[in-house]
Amino acid sequence: MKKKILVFALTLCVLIVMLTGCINSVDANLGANAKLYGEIDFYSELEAFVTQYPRRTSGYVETKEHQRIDYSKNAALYISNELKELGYTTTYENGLKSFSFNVESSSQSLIGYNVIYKKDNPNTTKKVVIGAHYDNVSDYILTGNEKIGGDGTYNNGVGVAMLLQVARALVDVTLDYDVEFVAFGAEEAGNYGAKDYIANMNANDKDNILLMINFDRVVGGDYVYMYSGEKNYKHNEFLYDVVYENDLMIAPLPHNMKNVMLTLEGSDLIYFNQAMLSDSNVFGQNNIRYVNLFSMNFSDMSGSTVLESSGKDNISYTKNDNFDYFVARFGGEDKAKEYLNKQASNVYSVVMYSLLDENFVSTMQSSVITNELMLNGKIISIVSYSLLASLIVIILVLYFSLKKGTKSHKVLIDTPYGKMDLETRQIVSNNLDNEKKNVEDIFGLGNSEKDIFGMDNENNSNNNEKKNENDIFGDF
Amino acid sequence: MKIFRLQNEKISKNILMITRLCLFFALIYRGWLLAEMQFYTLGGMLQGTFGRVIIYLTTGLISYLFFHLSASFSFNSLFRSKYSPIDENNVMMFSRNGYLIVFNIVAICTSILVGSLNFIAFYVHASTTLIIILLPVLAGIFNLIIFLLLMAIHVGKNRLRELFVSMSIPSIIMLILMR
Repeated sequence: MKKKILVFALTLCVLIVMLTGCINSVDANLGANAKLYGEIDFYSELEAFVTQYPRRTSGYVETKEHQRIDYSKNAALYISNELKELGYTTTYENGLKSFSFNVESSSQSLIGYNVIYKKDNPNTTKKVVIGAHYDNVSDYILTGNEKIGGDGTYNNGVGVAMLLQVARALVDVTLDYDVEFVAFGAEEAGNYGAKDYIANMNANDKDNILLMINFDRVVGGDYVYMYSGEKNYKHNEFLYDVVYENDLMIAPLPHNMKNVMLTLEGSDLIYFNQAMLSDSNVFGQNNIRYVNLFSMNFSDMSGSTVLESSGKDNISYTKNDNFDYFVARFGGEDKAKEYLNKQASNVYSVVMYSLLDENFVSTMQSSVITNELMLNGKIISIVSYSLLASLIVIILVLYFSLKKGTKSHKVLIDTPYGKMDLETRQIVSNNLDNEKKNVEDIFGLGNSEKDIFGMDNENNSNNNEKKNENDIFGDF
Repeated sequence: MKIFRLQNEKISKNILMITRLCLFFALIYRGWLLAEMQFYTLGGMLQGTFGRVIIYLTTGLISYLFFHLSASFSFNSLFRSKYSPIDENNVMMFSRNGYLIVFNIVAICTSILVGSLNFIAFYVHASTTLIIILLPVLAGIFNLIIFLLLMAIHVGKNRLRELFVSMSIPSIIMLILMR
C-alpha cells in the first residue's frame, strides 16, 4: 500500500513539474520617453462612435421569427460618412460593399457590409490597407434568451476610432502609394468581411498590397503588441525598429503566445493565438503581409485565457464591454482619457512613422510572406497512411514468400512443470482454471479472505501459486 | 540479449513492472502536445492544473493501453506460430516477460524521442497533421525496426528466416496498434 501511495505521489510530482510554465515579463516603463508623431483625441472619437451605435451585430438573425435584422448598417454608414467628409473616394454606393454569408446556426443567408474608401495616388497601383472591424456581439445570445449586450467599446470600437484617427491624419499627407481604409463587417461571425474583401481581388491586386494594418482591440489592454505571423518577417522587424527608435509604448511579442492548442479554420497549425483571431489572419492565409495591432497582457493568464488587463476580468464578449464600464476600469473619465489617448497616440505614431518612412515601400516589397505551414495537411495524411499500408503489404508478401521454404516445428515453452508444447500448455492451463474455479466461491461466502479486486492474500498461497502459473502462460 | 529469455519469474516481474511504469511516463511525455490540444478543446470543463493532470493521465493511459495490447497480442501471435525461433531443445527463444520487457524499453526510448520531436515540430510551426498523424506512424515503424533488430541479434543468423516468418503477423499488429 505504501508503495502505491509513493508511486502515486511521485506521478503527481512529475506531472506538476512537467506542467510548470515560464512567465514572460514586460518592461513596466515602456514608452516613458516616447517620441510621438503627434497626440490624438482618441477618447472623443471612441465615445462618439460607440455611444451612437451600440448595436452593431452583423447579419443578425432572430431565430424564432426567422427574420433577418442587420444592426450594423447604420454604424457602417456613420463610418462611411466620416471618411467621405475627409475627402476620400469610393467606388461603392454610399461606400458600402455588401456581401452575403452563412453561419452554422442559421440556414438563412445573411448580409454584412464592408466600408471601403481610398486615398488615391494615380501614379501607382501599390497600396496599404488599413482596417478594423466595426461589428460587435451585442445581439448574440449566449445563455437562454439573454443577449450579450454591451456596445463593443473594446471589441472593436477602439479599432474603428483608431482607423478614423489615422484617416484624419493622412488627409494632407502625400504618399507614394494608395491607402485603402476598410471597416470590416461580420468579423465576429467568422471574418466574413475580410473574406469577401479578399475574394474580390485577383492575384495582381493581392501582390499590390504592401501591408495590411489591422486594429483589433488595439487600445485598452495593458500592452499593445504587433503581430505579423508565426515567422520573423522583415516587415515586422521594420515596424519594431520604428518602435525602438522612437521609444514607443509597444511591447515586444511574448514567447508564450501559442496559448490555445486548437486548429483554426483555414489553418493547419496545431495552435492559434489571440493575435490570429482577427481579419488580418485572412490576409495572412492569402500570403499578404499584415500587422495586427492589439492590446492585452500576455504575461498574465487566467487558466487558458490571456488577460486584457492584469488583475481585472476580461470584458470582451461580455455585457461589460460597454463604454461606461470601460471608462470606469481606468478609474474614471479623466484617467481613462489620459491612458487611452496616450496609448492610442503611441499606436498612431508607429503607423504614421512607418507609412512616412522612405524605406517603407522597399522594405515591404522585400518582405516575402509565405504560407506558414511546412507541408500541406492532406498530403501528409495520404503519405502517412500510404506508408503504413505499403509496409503492411510488404510484410505480408515477405511472409508468404519466406513461409514456403521454412519448416514448421513444435514449439516448447519452459514452465514450472517442465517443457510443454502449445496444446499441452492449453490443457494444463484449462485444468488449472477449472480447479481454480472450483476452489473459489464466486459469491464470497465461503472464502472471506478472497480479494475481489484480485489483490493476492498472503494466506491464500494456493491461489497465489495458480496466479503465477497463469502469468507464465500468458495472462491475456 | 539474455533479457529476452528471462526465466527467473521474480526478477523478470520486477523489471517488467518498472518498465511498465517508465513506459507510462514516457507515453505521457510523448503525448504532451495531444494532451494540450485536448485540454484546450475541453477548455471550460477541465480548467486549471487539475484539469491538465487529468487530461495528461487520460492520454497516457489510453496510449499505454494501446501499447500494452500491441505487446500482448503480438507475443500471443508469436507464441502460437509454428515458426517461432527455438533452441536445440525445441524451447521458444523468447519468454513472455522477457519479450514484454524489451518491447517496453524500446517503446520508452521511441516515446522520449517522439516527445522531444514534438517540441521541435511545435517550435518550427509544423502542421497539425504532421504531428498527429505522420510522426506516430514513423515512430511506430522505427519502434518495430529496432525491436526486430534486437530480436534478430538474439536469435542469431541461422534463425533469421524463422524469426521473420513468425514475426510477420505480430509486426502488423504492432504497426496498427502502436499509436
